[in-house]
Amino acid sequence: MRITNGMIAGKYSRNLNSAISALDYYNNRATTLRRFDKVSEDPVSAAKAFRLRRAYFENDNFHNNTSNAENQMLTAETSMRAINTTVQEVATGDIMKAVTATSGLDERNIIAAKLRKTMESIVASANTQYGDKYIFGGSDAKKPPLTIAQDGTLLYRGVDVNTGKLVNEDGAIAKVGDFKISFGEDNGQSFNGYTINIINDPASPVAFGDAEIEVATNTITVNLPNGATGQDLQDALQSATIDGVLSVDVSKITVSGDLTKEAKVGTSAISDRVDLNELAKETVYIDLGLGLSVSADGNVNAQSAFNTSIPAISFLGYGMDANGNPKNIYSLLGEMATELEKENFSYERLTSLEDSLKTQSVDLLSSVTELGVRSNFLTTSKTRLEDATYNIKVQINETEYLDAAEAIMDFKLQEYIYNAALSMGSKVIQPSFLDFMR
Amino acid sequence: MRSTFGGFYVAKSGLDVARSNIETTGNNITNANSIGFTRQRLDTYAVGSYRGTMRYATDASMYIGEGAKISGTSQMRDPYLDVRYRSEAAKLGSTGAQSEVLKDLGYVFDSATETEFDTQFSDFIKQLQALAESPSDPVTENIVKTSATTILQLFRQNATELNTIKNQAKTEFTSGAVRTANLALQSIGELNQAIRSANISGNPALELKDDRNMLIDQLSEYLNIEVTTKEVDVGSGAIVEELSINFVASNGDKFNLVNNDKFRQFEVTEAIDGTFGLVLTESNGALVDSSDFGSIALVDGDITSQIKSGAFSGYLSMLNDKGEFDTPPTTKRGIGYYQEMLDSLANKFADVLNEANSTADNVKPLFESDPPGARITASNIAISQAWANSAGGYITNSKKPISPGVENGDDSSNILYIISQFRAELTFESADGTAIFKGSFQECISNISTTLGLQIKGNKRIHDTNISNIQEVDYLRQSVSGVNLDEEGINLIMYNQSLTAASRFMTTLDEALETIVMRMGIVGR
Repeated sequence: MRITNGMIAGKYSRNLNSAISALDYYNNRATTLRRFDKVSEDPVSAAKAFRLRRAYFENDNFHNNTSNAENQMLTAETSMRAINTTVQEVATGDIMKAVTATSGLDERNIIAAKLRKTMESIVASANTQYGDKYIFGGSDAKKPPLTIAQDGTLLYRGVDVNTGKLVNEDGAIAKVGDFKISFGEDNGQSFNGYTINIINDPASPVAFGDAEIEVATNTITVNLPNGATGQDLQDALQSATIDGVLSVDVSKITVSGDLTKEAKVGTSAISDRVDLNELAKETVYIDLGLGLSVSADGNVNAQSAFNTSIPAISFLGYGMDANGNPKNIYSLLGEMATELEKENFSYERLTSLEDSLKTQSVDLLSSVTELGVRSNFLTTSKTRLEDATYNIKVQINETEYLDAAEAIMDFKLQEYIYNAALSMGSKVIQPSFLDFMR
Repeated sequence: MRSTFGGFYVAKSGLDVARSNIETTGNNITNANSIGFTRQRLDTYAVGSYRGTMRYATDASMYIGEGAKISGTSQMRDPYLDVRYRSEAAKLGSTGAQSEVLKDLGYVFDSATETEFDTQFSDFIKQLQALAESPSDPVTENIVKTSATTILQLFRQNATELNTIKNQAKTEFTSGAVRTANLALQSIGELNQAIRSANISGNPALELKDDRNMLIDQLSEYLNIEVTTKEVDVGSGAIVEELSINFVASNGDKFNLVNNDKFRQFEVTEAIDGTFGLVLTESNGALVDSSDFGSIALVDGDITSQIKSGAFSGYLSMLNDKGEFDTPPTTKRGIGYYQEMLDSLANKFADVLNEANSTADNVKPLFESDPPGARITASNIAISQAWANSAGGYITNSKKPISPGVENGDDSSNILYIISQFRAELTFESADGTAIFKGSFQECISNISTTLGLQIKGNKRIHDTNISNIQEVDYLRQSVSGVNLDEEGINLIMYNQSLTAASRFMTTLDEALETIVMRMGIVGR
């Protein structure tokens, strides 16, 4: 092949350029120790690196959540143990054995005062906070869960722990959209078990802006035109017609909330009571990386997350037992104290209450134990997450970073190649025939 | 027997040839580094005896040649290599244009170290986890809102950058590629005319041809061309070369671009939907007459669909192709693909979170388009007015039906549902509802990056191959056309010696004549 001087020079300068760009590449690798800076250099590893980074962030979140939950559970455990200790003192009979069928009123008053002190300490412990959260409030951590009504009954989030009655409400209530509808204290329990339907239906027998109470089917139907507000809803209800016999004063029905807002269609049951069973089983989940699975309506798969909720009534008890005694420990202690303070007290009644308390205290103890198991699970989870984080870090290192020795070796080799190419330069640009012409 | 002084003319022709050869060599040496210069050669031939047909011709053994004569100068060029060079140039042009645009796209999506977008999603999840622990806490919710705002800013920023890249590509295409090609076409037309005039007056116009070849090389980067030349007798023995250039479509159809001094031009069109096209016009801007192309259907000179190689095809592909978003779906991914992908991600993000935050009778969108009403895309996604105005408690904690009268502000099951949406396998769709990608939000972001990474890598590999192919052909071409100084040096000596020899021949003749004229017939004088 015929070779010209230009061809040699051109090829040499191209080769020198590729040698220096390789030098730049290896220099970059040796100084950053990264396998790649651009996804396009190694798309497969980059995809893996992205996934690992996400996993790292995620694990970090889980670890945070676990630590928080662990601390919260520890606080809860301390409070519950305190409650348990005071309750067991009464239940095991240490205090009560001083009372016999023939004990005098003064003697009994002293014991009663002791019981009332115990009751106070239970409420104080159950209203413990972790940070600014009330930990025994179930799904409401902002307000102290236990309060005492004026008549001395214990309320859990405004609900009578023995009956489930909404003590602070103005009679039976319903909630539709953003509005709360109170059916009036004076109307007693007349509306209990009714259902309220707010509709927007021009074809309905109930005209727009009217409400009808149908006694036969226990339904209240309110038909509202488009754009009707909360005020319109209240007006309709206060002028409701009654189909059947029901002695109520509809003018006592009130709607609360921002009455200028639009009233939306919807259905709600009307009741002055709350299902205590539901409240006691309330859950508040946090995500610990157990494969969180939540349905669109908010049902968390119990195995896929950790439940941090410990409603106070779940371990203090609620409702009434077969003997007609309250199941709630506070209420039991209260009734015992009241019985003791009575002039003509019944020892039999006291024993019956004491028996109930014993049963409840066993439940309380098992709740405390169960909490211990839950805390333990958190500790194991934390270890598991720490291990996982370490593994991810190792993998990130393997995927994204180079061995320093290897990187520097590569650089040195390329440096050698570049120097060799440079020294070749003066040899490549050779004198030509012309230099030798006379 | 030829005339007494005939030999002098033979010697003179030898001197002429030798001197012209030396000058040609000198021209080659001086142009050794001129770009586009083709090595020249003097064409000479031996002049035969002209007495062969004369009536009283003498013996055949007396036929002596009449010396050497110059027929002209020519170029050392291999047309086959030119064809190869130009077809490689078209391939290189295509990958080159793509790599220019892909390099720009790389600034947005190709970094393996600066992945703010992915990281911001992780941050958003982190803030949601914090909110799940203390739901309806206005401070935490505000942090969630801020984190979401940053995601939206990144959406908009990326969308803007993609838009800028598209505009840049458009400028490179119209003001760069098309304009350069048009200028080349015009210059080739003009050179054709100049070469023709020169040819008529007998000038081979080799330097003009070099210029023209360079322009044709340049043109061949933009689209696949075919160059044909024919020799035309213009009378009185003068032969001129006429050159025409055709654009060869992928299916083999040919469209004339240059015919001797007539040339056509390209014009870029932009449809309302943002797709670009290329139209062939006459040099005065008039539409081409489609009957010029025989049976080939050509609407208003639109050759967009016929361009499958060259820089034009590279730019058109980057500007028009949307890969999976095209109907029918392809694997050719231009800027549009990345725009659509980002839009589809923004749309899904807004849809899923809006739905997660709303209930059937209480619609509480977190995001909306700005201005509202349009399909949410990466360039118009915004925090919804309602959320922006809310002081807190806008994110739905729980969708569970609750007992009226009991607060449940700390049931965070719906926030957990929102978090779980970030791990869910979602289907990302185009505006018309075609499924494009299945995976989580962040997998979708990674997918955009890795898709681009693979495209850049693949294009780079092909581009590198094309570069080395064209260098190889150019090497061969230089091997034929380039100036080798050794060779020219040798020639210099050789022609110099020829000159000396021819001079010596003349001196010999002179001496011989001297003998005849001065010394003969003087015996006995």
